[in-house]
Amino acid sequence: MRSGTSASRVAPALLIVVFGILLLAPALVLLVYGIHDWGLIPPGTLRPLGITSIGASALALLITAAFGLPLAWYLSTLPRRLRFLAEGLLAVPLLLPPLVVGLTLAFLLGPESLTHLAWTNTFWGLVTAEVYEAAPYFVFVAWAGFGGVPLLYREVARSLGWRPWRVFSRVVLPLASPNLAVGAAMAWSRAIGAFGAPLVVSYHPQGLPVGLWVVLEEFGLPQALPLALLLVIVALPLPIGALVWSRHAAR
Amino acid sequence: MLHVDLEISIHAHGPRRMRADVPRGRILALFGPSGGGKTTLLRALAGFHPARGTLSWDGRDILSEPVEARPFAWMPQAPSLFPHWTLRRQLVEARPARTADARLDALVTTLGLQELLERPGRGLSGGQQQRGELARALARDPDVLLLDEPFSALDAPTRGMVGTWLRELLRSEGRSMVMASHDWSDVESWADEVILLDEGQTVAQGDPGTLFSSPPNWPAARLMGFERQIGPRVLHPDLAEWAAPHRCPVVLIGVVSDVSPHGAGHRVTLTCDDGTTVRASVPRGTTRPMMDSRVEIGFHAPEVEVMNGPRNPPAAPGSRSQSF
Repeated sequence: MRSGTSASRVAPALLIVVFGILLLAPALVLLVYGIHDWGLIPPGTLRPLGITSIGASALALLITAAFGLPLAWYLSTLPRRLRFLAEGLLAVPLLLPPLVVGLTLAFLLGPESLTHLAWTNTFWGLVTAEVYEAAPYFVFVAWAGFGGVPLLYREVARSLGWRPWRVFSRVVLPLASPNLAVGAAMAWSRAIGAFGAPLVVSYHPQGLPVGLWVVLEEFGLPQALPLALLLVIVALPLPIGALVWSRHAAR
Repeated sequence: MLHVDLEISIHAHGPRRMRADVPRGRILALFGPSGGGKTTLLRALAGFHPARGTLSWDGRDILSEPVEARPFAWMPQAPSLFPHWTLRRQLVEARPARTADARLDALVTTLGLQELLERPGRGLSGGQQQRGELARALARDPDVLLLDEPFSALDAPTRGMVGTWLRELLRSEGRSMVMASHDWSDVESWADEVILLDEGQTVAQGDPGTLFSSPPNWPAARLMGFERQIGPRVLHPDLAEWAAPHRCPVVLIGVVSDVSPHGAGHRVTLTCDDGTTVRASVPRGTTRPMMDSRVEIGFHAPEVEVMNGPRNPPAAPGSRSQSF
């Protein structure tokens, strides 16, 4: 009886420990071998990769926010029957495989394309590819944020004599900001980790994910692991900060 | 003066007409049961619900103006302080440049908000929110206050204090007020005129005291709490007379079948000899009758002018009449 009870307590605990180790194993490997093999990073790759990645992702995030905020706000004001249609349309870029997005972008942005932009294999090509991977996530989360601001607050603000922009900036934006922060965090993670679309659109200049893959192909795993650690170090602080802030702000 | 002559489409009830003139310093009440259309009418005045007709303040047409340009402050029934701002910021942001600091200070002091000024809207209780919202509405310096159940979350002493103060303030500053309420005591206490609403329709309109002492029709009487009609007379539990029943126009004899606390006194259900029941209030200080005892109760029962109302048959006590 006694042994049965202790077994029923030990078994779940053991399961949790095993699962925990399995889940955390990649992070541990990355941390240990990444630091250990830091000196193996091929010379001359670290700075350009890091700068390109951070620059392109920051721009992608800015562009996403600049276009995504008004779009999300507009979507939140749509009547119910149109909302379903808008959700479907927005899901298309979200659900398309990144490689497919890259192919279509290469087709649209190439020198021989209708647009004649010749953005393939340029910094702006990389930014565009990252925007396409990040924007749908931001818009969906921001849309939910705006939709979650009760109409009552907007009405009261208007009855206080406030013009629409003041209602938006003083009431809607602050109340939606926890969601906007989460949306920005997701968009940043998607942008800086974007691989499929940039691989096709912008093999050069390379961001960290594509550079990582090239190093893996040309040099091998020990040289690639420290770069993977770098990608994680660059990618994580903003989302973690945004999530912590949004939890605090929502309280 | 606020002049209202509007046709307003009320969901499920169709178009309804609202006509009223509210001079400066006066209070118009919209009274009726929940779902009676009070909130919709108030929202239509504020500009949140479509309406056709005339709406003007001192001769200036406001119906064509957007919500933010109307000289109104609207206070909805649900708590509406912005959750992310302190009460102080809500008052300061609501205040137009012409409102002096002294006026804000006076509002805060009178409504007992000093201790709450640095608390965010989301941290305030229902009653605190309601006082804060009232202060914010007045800080906006409106010509007309549109208040939806403004006293519903206040305790009785605060309600009396705030109501009296607000009435005086409106008179001294020449503002008007339209308030929605489902509590007849609020209407009697504060309103100069009342519109009795049932399913969005105006059943009666006039001075609350006059309407209560002489209900124009049965639907209006029913809304004001009259529960039973006998001949042309209608009975209200609060108009029961225990000390000298025979001086009243209606005297009922029966057996006390229920006694329950009600307000400061009690409420008795009397089963008459013909099997019908009637309720009567026993004020504090009057001896409470015993259960199953046989008693006589007089009623100061007014006569209704139009027995059945325009299209409405008299309703049995406790039942809801058909639409009017």
